[in-house]
Amino acid sequence: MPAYHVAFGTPVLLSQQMASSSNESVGLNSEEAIVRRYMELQNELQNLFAKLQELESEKVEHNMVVSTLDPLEPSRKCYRLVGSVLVERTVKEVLPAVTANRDNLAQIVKTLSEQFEKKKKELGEFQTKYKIRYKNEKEVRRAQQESGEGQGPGVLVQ
Amino acid sequence: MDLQERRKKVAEYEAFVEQRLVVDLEKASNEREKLLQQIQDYTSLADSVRLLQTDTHQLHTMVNLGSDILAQARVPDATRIFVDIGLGFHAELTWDEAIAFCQKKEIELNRKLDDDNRRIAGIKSNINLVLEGIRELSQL
Repeated sequence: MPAYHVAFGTPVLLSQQMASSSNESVGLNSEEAIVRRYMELQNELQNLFAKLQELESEKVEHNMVVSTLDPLEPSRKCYRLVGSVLVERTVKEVLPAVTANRDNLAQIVKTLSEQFEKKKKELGEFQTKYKIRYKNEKEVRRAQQESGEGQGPGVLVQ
Repeated sequence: MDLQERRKKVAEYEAFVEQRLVVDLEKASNEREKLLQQIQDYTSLADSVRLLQTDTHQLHTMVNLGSDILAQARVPDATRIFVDIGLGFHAELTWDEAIAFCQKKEIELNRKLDDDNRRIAGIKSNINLVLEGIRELSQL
């Protein structure tokens, strides 16, 4: 569950050349823009995941209610809380509504998880396309020593 | 990295711990507390129902009228009780149904509790990780 992304290394592009050689199709022409887009995608993915989880638990709740009401005889009383008032209903009246709602939810969860998978793929493709990876501390230092200067371009400080 | 840069980094990580991780941890802990409360509620409901079963069909009880002023109440027929089954629905259940529901609900809630526990452990380990990082940064 990628709820967090704690990384000490900073995401960097391997080199300016690689980035600029493959940016014609999308039109992202600065490293900054690419990294920003990458973070954006990551964020979207995380939000989608959170939403998905929320709906999933709601679906479970619906299932719970349906499976409880299902075996009861249709004329059984079943009060429904509206605001803070209990309204008298019967199982017969209530069950179809809950079932419909649950099916709706299931549908939404399905489309959302499809979206999630698509986003995940998009992120992965983006990552390979622009050769994004997380540099660790050692590599950063070595790169600094090699280039003989401070942090090179494209380093994103979190 | 010079000293100034390192200080800046430390400040950033500290801010991340304070503003994100600690807040999230608090939120998750609160949710966990609520779940525990719910589990306890359903357990005690099942216990009460079992108690009712051993008794007659009548129920004598005290009702809290508010401000802890109690009134005696008598329920002539307590064979059917209304149970909050979620989503604001209160279904009329027999004792056996109520107990069965409580058990089902407990399993579900415990599953959620496991999830929460795992999440909390994850956040805690992230906090430790970042704190360890901060320590290293400030020692170097």
